[in-house]
Amino acid sequence: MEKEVLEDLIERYFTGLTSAAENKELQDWYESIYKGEPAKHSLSEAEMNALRKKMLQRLLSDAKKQPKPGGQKDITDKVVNNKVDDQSKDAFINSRSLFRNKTWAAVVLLLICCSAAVYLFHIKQTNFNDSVAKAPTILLPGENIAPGHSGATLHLSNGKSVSLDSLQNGLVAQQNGVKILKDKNGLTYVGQANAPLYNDITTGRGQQWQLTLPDGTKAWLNAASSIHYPLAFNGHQRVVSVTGEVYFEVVHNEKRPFRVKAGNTIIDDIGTAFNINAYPDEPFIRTTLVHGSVRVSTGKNVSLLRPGQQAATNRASEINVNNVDIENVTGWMNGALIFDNEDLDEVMKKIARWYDIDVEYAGKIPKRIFAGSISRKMNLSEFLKLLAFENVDFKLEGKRITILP
Amino acid sequence: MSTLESYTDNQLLKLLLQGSEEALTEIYNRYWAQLVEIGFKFTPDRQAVEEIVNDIFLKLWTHPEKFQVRSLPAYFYTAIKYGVLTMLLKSKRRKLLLKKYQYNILSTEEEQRIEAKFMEAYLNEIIERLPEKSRLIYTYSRKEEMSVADISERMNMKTKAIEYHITKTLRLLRSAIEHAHNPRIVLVAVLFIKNLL
Repeated sequence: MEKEVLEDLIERYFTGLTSAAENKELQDWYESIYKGEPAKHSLSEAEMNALRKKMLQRLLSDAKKQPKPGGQKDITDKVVNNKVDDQSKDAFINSRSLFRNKTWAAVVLLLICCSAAVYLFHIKQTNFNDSVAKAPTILLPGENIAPGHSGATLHLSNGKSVSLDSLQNGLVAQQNGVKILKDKNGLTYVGQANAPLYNDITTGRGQQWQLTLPDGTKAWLNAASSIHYPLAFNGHQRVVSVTGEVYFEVVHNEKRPFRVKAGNTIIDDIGTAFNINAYPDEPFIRTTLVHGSVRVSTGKNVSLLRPGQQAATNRASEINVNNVDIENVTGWMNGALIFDNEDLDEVMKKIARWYDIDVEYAGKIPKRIFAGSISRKMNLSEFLKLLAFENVDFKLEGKRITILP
Repeated sequence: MSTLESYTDNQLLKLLLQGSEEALTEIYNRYWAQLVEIGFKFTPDRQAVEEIVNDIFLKLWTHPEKFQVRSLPAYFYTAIKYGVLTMLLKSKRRKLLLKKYQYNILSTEEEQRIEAKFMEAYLNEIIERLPEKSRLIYTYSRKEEMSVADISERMNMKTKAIEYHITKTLRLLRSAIEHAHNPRIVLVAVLFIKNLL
């Protein structure tokens, strides 16, 4: 194609004045070169490498000058800054060496002004886009959703409830001669009660809590969990019941064995630390022994666990014992959200509990297996980044996340 | 050297969205040679090629959200084409400049028009690369303006499925369209003039 015809065609193409046939003509011409012979240039391989490096340097330095995605620079700062004019002047002179004649001076001046104007205009535009239009997209999805924190609700035997989140350390309540104190270890009971009174502690989604039971046994509650226990363990057995996920460090007492009820599963301690995962939305109740010894039983079956073993009780009261990695099971106590070859549904349940969000699936649940961990102190966005890396499509609206097929 | 070598383009784009220079470098390493090669096919002018290719990467850096549409090759194909055509247009203007003292090479209005055309072409690229069904449904729905019921009949598919395809395609395109037309530009111009006074 004639050069001038081509240039004319391109100009009209950009103004939208070309016919469909002309568009095709232009496209065909472009394709013929695009797909045609390899480029003829005089650069050697070494020169190409040098060019590649030089261009990368320039790109990165240009990129640094640009408002970085995520950063918001002051608009006026840039506009007032004289460097802007210098830069555009330099760029201008470098790129064109047409102007040698004195009579061009006025034109050059005008051009500098114009290009400065265009440059400033461009900066304003990108900055403006940044600060106004892009701002909401720059806030990564989930960045405003904080992780869970320490907190729980104490339900006293008289029917009263106390939120423990914002309470100062000190006396929380007094019942039947027993003082309930809030301290750095959560909640501690001091004194001996003589009536069979029960307390409950519940954590909501996004909460966790630690407490010391009247016998000195320690319990850690994960999010969306509960424990029901007496003010004093007076009988010949210490019995508590739990839902959700609770880790116990039991003070051993042969005369008063410690028993935990979780759904259809009963765990009898024989001096021990163990983790119980008994969320109602999970298919199994999982008891994992960290050290010591426990006996797990249902109405039908009994199993004795060794450290590192996990008993999974299903709805039919069958018990299945497996060896597991204890650190993965108790990671939640050490501030980690651990995914141990879990499918998306399991992962999302954990996320929902800790970040207090609702999870929905727009279609089938994508079949993916996840392994890894994130800190429980991170905002939801950290997790969403992982999801994105795994090419899981999702949509976050408020506190509802929808997994797209 | 780069730890990002094993990342997919899509993962790199996500990182780019967070302002990762490493991701930019990795994308550069992947596509530079191809782009420069194409540039040199159209012009022997080394400086011009440098300009075009640099602009392409820089645009991706400043507005990654525009191109978060799963296909870097599609972006680069359209971007280099527009880079080349714009360069040729500029060379025409430069000749005019010598003749007529015309002072501006490309007006901002023109640049915006080119930008809009670029976006349009880019979107078409994406649509062409959609899976067969999604593409057909999109074309019926948006270009031929058929109703969901009509498409459902023609494709022999449930209306729900048709709606699903349309939603999915639109979602894909939305991020790309978002900034293509920006009415706020006028406002910016006013602000700019104020600053000069």
